[in-house]
Amino acid sequence: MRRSFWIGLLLILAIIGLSGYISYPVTEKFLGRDLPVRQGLDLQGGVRLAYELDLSKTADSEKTSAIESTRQVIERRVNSTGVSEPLIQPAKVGTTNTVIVELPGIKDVQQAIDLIGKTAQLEFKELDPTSTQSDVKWLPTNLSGKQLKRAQVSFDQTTNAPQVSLQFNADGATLFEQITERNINKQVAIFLDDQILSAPNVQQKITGGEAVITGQFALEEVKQLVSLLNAGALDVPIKLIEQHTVGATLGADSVKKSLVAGIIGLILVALFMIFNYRLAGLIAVFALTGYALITLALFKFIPVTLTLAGIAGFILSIGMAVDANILIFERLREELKEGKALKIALEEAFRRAWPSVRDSNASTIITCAILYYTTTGSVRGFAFTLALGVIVSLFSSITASRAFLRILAMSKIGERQLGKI
Amino acid sequence: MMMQNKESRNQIRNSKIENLNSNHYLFLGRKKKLWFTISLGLFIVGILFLIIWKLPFGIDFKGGAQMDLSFDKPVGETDLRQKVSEYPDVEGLVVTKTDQSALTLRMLPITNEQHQAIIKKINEDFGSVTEKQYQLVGPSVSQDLTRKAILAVVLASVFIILYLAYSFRTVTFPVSSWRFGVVAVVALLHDLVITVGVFSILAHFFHFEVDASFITALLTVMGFSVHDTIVVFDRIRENLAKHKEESLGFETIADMSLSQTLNRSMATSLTVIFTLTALTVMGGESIRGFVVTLLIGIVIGTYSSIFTATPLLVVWQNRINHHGKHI
Repeated sequence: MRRSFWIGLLLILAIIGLSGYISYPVTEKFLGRDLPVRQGLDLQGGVRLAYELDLSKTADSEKTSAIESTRQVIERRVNSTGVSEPLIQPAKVGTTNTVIVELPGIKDVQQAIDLIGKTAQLEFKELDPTSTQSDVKWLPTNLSGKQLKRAQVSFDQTTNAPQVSLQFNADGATLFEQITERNINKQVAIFLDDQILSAPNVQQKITGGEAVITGQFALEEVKQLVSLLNAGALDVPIKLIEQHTVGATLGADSVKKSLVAGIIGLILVALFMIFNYRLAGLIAVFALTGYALITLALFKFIPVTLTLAGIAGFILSIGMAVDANILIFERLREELKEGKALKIALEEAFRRAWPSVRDSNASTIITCAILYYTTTGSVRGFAFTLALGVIVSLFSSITASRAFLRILAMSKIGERQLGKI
Repeated sequence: MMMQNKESRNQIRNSKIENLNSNHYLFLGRKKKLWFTISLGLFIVGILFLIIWKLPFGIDFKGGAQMDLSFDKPVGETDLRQKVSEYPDVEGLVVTKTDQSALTLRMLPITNEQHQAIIKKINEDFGSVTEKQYQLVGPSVSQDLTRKAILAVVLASVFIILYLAYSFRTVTFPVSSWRFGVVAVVALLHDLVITVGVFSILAHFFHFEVDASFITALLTVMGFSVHDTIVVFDRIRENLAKHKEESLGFETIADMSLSQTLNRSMATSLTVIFTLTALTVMGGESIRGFVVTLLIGIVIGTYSSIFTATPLLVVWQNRINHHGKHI
């Protein structure tokens, strides 16, 4: 055998070994990366909320930034609840703009809904004269998001540094003038939902209702600040249009049952393969175990959020991986029947089975890609795990199985046993 | 090719000779009629029950609010229905019993506050209740789901036809390559319709519902159906090239290909059926409808790749031979 074959074999074993290590439940870190097993809402319980954004008062040109601003405001609110791994994502439903919020494992759904549903409160506050270095207190002013026309990213004309420009309406301009006059060389703070956004120092009295906030800002920081300021300025009411709450017990129950059922199903498949194809079947079971390990390792490494639909995609991909092996073994039988020697028959079987393995899996991948890009939610998760599984299965059924079978075919016993397929 | 032409002429003129001629086919020849009858029968039965029993669309499609409740003691269905329907804000109430002390309430969309009020009242009237699951789906959300699913099926069909036309481009004679794609997609639609039909029958007896996962299941069936059909078509492609010199006739080649891939079709379907049956019998309740849909679809998909797709390809080819023009 050529040297490249042995290197290839070593590589296959290394990949499987590494995958086994990663997918082992205790392993929590790899290459400095955390390896969480992410469970979807349907598995660990939690709530999925969809909010419709009322953009009727928003100008067309500002719609995109209004959606992003709303998303950021919701994100800030969700983060304040301490839920781990929340998902906050704008989505277009038909012609309505929505923001999807997924809060896995949340206990108090009601509180979260109340918190998210509030309208954004942007307030300008000034320093309380009694506050000290260690105890900063803020006094409310009458200036709020209502008087802010808009915030924009701009650049300093001399230094080109990014800065935030504010524009107030006539009412706001007067108020702002008064506030800045009172607070020269002092801080004025901007609060969103009672959390401080920015507290710039006032350098002079500002008239005319236009101000800039300068500082050592990165462009990203400025953009985020602008977006949040706009959320306070824009009037985008949100309405809860979809809610999906799953109790943790329901999720845990179905996972456990389905997992046991899935494992029993796979054992049946393994027995069938060994019974039907003897030694070659056993090799296929080894290759398939490697396949399952690699896929699970990828799930953990990417990481993929596991949902029931996702697990279904995984199980289906196992079915397709088994199919590739069956195609090859049936072919091997035919080639042997024609009186070919085992080694030649083996190579022929792989060579001839390849086009159908390729075409059938390619069509599955095409379908998955379309599903991934046209749908959302569980269907999307399904498409992703299925596509991932099919790609890995091409490796396991073609590369790994073939290497194992070639090795076996080298020995006299292996050759005799494989011939009994 | 000569034999083929003669045979199709005989089919019209003399059924006795046709009998003799097509008896050597394992799957095709005269048997094609039987397969088409079965397919058509399933098709009609499926659609008939679809019309009679309709698809039990769940909340994902109809919109509304749904509460899955579990009580600490048995609660009567009618009792609950009567009480809850008298609550303010409850409209279009449907109550279904899922277990001794577990019931599902469904109503028109309600607000968050109304939801809280209803749960509180049930707690007062019926004793301790746990809400295992709560769903609220607005009408725009449900319409969107259907629209996207249809778009996905149409797009996938177009791409599958294109891919197969490309992948089978070496086969231009006697069957032009894009016909493989078209037939694969026809078989796919056949599988989808029959799966939906059979599902409507089962749903009637087992109270399955059409939810978002039903769409996922149908899309999976679609993927599997094409997967299966392609394996058979691939063999036809290979045999056409291999027996180029022997002028065997397309039907003979197709028949040969079917018997060569039969073992594989059976073995693959069996393995998938093993897994799915295990999941149906022992898996969690929440995925049962999903798994059963897959099971039906995959059995139908295996059937159609052998008994619908290939015979269709042959019939199409025979018609072209007969009329002497390309359709």
